[in-house]
Order: sequence, then C-alpha cells, then structure tokens
Amino acid sequence: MTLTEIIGDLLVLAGALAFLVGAIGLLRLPDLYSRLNGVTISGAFGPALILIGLLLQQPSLGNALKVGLALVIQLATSAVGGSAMARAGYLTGAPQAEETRFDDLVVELDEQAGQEHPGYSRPDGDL
Amino acid sequence: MTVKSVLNWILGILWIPVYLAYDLLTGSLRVGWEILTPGSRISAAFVEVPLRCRTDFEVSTLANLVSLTPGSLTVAARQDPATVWVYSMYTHSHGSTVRYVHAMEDRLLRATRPAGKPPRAEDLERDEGGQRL
Repeated sequence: MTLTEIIGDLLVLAGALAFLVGAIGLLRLPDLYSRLNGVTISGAFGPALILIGLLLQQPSLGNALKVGLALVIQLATSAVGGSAMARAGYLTGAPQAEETRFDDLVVELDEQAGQEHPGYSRPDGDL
Repeated sequence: MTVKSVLNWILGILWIPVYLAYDLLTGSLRVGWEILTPGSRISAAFVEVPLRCRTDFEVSTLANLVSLTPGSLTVAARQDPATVWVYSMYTHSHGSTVRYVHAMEDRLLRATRPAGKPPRAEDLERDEGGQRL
C-alpha cells in the first residue's frame, strides 16, 4: 500500500464516522432546527470525506472530474433540502428548544400583522 | 474595470471552494463535538439578516452556502428587499450572526461582481433580545 492509499482509507473511515456522528445527533440534539444542522454533517461533510478518500485511492483525471461533479451535486442538493425542511418545519410550527434566545421571524410577523408570513413572500413572482 | 479588479474577481471565484471547505470542516467539528460530549452549549436564535445581494442567483447561492455550514441554516428568504432569516446554533449576540453571514456574503459578492463588492450596511445594531433599537 502506498501512502496516498493509506490516507484515502483514513479519509473514508473518517467519512463513515461523520455519518455516525450525524445519526447520533438526530437522537441527541433538542429540536428540529439543530437536528437539521446535525444531518448536515452526514449530508455534506461525510460524503465529501468519502469521495476525496476514494479519489486518493484511485487517482486519475477522469475520477477527479467524477468526484468533483458528485461533490458539487451532493453539496447543492443537501443544502436545498435542509433549507426546505427548515422552512416547512417553521411554517407548520415545529417546537423550538428552550435554548432558543430570540426569533426575528416572529418579530417580523407581529410588525406586519395581518399580512403574510415572510417565509411565504414572493414579491417578484418566484424566488 | 481595471486589470486589478478582474484579477480580484477571478481570485474571488477560486477562493469560494477554499472558504467553503474550511467552514464545512470547522462547523462539522463544532457540531460533532456538541453531539458527542455531554451537556449543551447551544444558544440558538433566528436572526434576520438584510443583504446586499440583488439577483436571484446571489440570494439563493448565499442561502445555500449558509445552510451548507453545520451550525447555521437558512429558514426563510425574501428577494425584495433581499433578506434571509438564519437559524444559528451558537449565537453570541444578534450582531455576531449578522457579521458571520455578511462575511460569507462578502466572499460571494467578490466572486459574482467583477466591479467589486459594495460596503456593508452600518445601522444593523440590535439589543440583547434581538429587538430593533
């Protein structure tokens, strides 16, 4: 085994551990929003480590392109999914943990009483 | 547009993945440490952040960059005036979260605007509870 293969193995192992940490976070964190942050570890950090580890095990230009493409798609989709879930959770009134200190969305809702929730607003058609 | 501003723009595009990797690493370690050690250091908040972004692309890219970093999450976005509402797991104060998002916005605007990024707004201070002064 060469040095790059060993480093690649370690990165893949670290990526698997990142998935484990994200899974434990789902059980341990207090509310929907912090759990979504825990899931981000398995959704973004874990796959990134595993993909880079795989590239180090079999380095070639073609694999680098594939890994780069997979990384971009994975990171973009996990971020969009996380935002969509957080927004859906807020609009349906998911409970917030006691540690939550203040909530500007509520402030905004009080100020424009009777108007739409800011999460709904689409001034120029689609956002 | 000078040669210097074009070089700055290209460097800005190249820097974004570097910053992103750094944020991803530090954020993951921080939230991972929170998960694996007993006790809770969470002091969460939903913070309204006014933006200098103008186009759909800029607002949605910024919202995604914020969501991508463990420890912060975009809950809602509005385009006119451009604003995002960010859930932040570790909030020292209202201003610290606004500055964090604005630092990310600086890097993004450096990459999307060849003419250079506009200066930050100054009148965003809030009190301890996050209320407008």
